Amino acid sequence: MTDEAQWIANVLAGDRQSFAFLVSKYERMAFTLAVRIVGNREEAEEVVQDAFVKMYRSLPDFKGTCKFSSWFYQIVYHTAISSLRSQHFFVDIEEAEAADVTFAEQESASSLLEAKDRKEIISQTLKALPSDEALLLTLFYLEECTIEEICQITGLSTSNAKTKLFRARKHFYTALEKKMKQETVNLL
Amino acid sequence: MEDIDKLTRKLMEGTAERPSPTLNERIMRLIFSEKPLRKRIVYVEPLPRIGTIAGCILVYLAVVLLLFVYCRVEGITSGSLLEMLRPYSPLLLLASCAIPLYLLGVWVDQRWRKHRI
Repeated sequence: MTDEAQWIANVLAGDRQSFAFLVSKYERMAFTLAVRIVGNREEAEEVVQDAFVKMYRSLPDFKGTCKFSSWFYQIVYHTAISSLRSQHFFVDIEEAEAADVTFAEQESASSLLEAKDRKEIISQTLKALPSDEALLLTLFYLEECTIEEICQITGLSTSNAKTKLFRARKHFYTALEKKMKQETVNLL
Repeated sequence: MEDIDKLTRKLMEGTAERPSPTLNERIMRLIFSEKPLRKRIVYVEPLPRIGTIAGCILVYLAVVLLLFVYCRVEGITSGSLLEMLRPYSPLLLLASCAIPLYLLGVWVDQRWRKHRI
């Protein structure tokens, strides 16, 4: 039995103290996802608190047929969407094919890898992107969720998730290149 | 495609947002205001297997057949059989009452346990 499975079993047996381990493990990623969706730190903390309470209450219904993290992120996602009071989080996309990331954009992004303020620049770039794109990029590239897991969390179809992720990546690199150019101009 | 994925992963590394240090404590306070969870135990009465039922029927038929053959060989009629069993009648009555009483006890015990769970 893994540590996580043991904590869940303990909580189910009435040991609420073991829940602290689950909180420690997942609070940061839950908070990151909530921030990406609601775009506000205070509101995101409220969302995370609600999501953990909901998770605690529904823990007896967790059947273990999927990853615990995906199941919990689904709760975070729905709690955050409810707080937005909007049913349409994902923006409908036009049919036109999106272009892939250009060589120049890749080069520009690569130069950022060694930069001291990389985290800050990336965070700012993600904030500038539409919420749904920032969420998909976070789930796929930061939390390393598979497309199937993303579909389970967000309720998107596989093809839709792939298309949106492709576009989100393109927008991310375009925004990053613009930001880098701006930074260079500012330095000069 | 894979190179872009790798590069994007590297760029995104360590960019998870950090919540306020009191968030964990606030969540745990909320959890402690909730009722502790209890395991939901479902009592499923085991069903007898087909093999067990068929085995019981076969044993029962074999016993009846043996008795029948014994009576035929010994030339025992129903009248003489009753005469033979008369001295054992209190014992037979006791056994025939004890077995149903035992089964009733087991059933009541099971029902009681089920309600306790």
